[in-house]
Amino acid sequence: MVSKQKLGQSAIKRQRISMMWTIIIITLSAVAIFPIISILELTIYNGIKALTPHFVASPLLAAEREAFATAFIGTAIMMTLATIITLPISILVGILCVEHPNHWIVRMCRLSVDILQGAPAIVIGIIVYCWMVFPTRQFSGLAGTLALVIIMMPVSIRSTEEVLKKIPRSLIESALALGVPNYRAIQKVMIPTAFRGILSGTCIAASRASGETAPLLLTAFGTPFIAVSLLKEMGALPLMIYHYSASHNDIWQAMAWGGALALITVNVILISASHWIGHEK
Amino acid sequence: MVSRLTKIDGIQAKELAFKSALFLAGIFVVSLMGAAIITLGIGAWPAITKIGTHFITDKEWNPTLNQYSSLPLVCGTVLVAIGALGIALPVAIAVALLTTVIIKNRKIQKILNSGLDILSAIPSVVFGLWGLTTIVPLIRHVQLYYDMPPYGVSMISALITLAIMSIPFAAALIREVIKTIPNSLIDATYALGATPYEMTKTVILPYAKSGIIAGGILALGRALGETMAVSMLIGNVNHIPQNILEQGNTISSLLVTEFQDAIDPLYHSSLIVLALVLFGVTTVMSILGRRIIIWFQSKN
Repeated sequence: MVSKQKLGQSAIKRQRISMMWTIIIITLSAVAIFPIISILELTIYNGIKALTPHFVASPLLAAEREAFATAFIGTAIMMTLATIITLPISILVGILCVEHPNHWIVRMCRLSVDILQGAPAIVIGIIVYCWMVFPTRQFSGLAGTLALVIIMMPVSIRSTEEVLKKIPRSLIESALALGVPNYRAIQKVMIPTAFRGILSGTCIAASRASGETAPLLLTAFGTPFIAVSLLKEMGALPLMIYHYSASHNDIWQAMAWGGALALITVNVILISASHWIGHEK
Repeated sequence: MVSRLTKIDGIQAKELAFKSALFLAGIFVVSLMGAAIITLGIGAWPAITKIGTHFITDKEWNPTLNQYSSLPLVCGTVLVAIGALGIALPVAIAVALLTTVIIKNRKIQKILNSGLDILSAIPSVVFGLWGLTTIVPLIRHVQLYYDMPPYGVSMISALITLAIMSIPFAAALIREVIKTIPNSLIDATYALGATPYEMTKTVILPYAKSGIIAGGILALGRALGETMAVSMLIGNVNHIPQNILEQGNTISSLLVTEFQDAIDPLYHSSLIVLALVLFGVTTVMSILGRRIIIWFQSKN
């Protein structure tokens, strides 16, 4: 009888401990959620004001409008180019890793991808600076593109390899058994089967790279003038945010927030696209 | 007969071309990495030979006086990164547990998880902008309270913002680790009458320990290399930190603010030494963390 009562008490105690633990976890999570809501709220609230045609038309001077526009143009040019360069390389390297998994070049490749993925973006900026900016004494959009390629490539290669690994070997073997040469089997069976997955990985890589600021600061440098030449300084959204963030000028602050909202929107679209492409079917 | 042979020859030629394209791409990636390391090595060499141990024994980073000591920057980097992770890791574990153990509803889990994904997509520079408008005024009040000059930008501002930035990344990693725990184990523990707390303590934490440590290592590696938000909030003053409310600097923040202006060869070279150190440390951490996670996943 006594023991049963004791048992009941200890059960209540255990329930209480568990309850307290749950409350602690929920509180900690709420602490994490609070600043994040604040970031999203501030960005959306301040950013929407800056992205209206009214804002662009009236408080902005012509020079400011130019600086605003060139950021969008520069990011669009460099990101598009970087994606176009990254995609084929990562598909080729991904195929190489799957086709010859134990070749020494493949092992070196995996190590390189590991190292490049772990490297801080600023170090990649410095490396590209030493390669392209220092010898020519000229910041350029091309250097910025190269930096973005080096940042995107490891992510893209890794995801491509993962996707290719998941393709059943029997699919390719059945193509080979029909007398199809190896390269045709890869071209006609492997790549089409994996294409959605590869694209999805590229979207993730692009969303990673689109917000990179530090390497662009050392390579593309940024400019307030409309610039489409790849051999000259080029503007970018993150650079504009950086340059205007510390100013006390309300309009410049608003431009920074507008850039931030645009950047986050692009990222959210890219990530949702990657989910949508990756999970279809 | 002849035409058939030429056709086979053609296929073989194409096969060869394809294979060499594959290997060329592979060699390209490897040589990119090799060239990167060689570039840093060559760039760092003059400073290593000229400055040598002064990198560690001196106490000042003052390029105008030719004083290049890494000590203030290393201290700042370690302090900010470890402090940030000290705040972020418990919170990240809590968030991961919330989305796996406490909330069972699949739909809410999905919403929370995509929320985390979106958060890890917010660029560093936006966190910097946010920190400048919210954290910095807050810290200004604290500094006034302690009779310090109210700059607002300080090590603690950078630390808090870095902690907030690290939470989504670390939480997503830990969540993946917890997800690999077999459900049968969790269900069995519940069937024996364990409360959620007891289940976490006896099953999840021991099981996922190595994975959580790996997540911590990866998050620390990222925090060490984090540049923009820190550079915007830390104040960029190169002295050995005495007080967390003071301004300071980290390696990555120093690199981004000073590298373009480093015209003097020794100055340029010693910045590359710092970049090399940062590169080495973060690379080792990233590879180590990922290896532990791969080992953990293959174990299950």
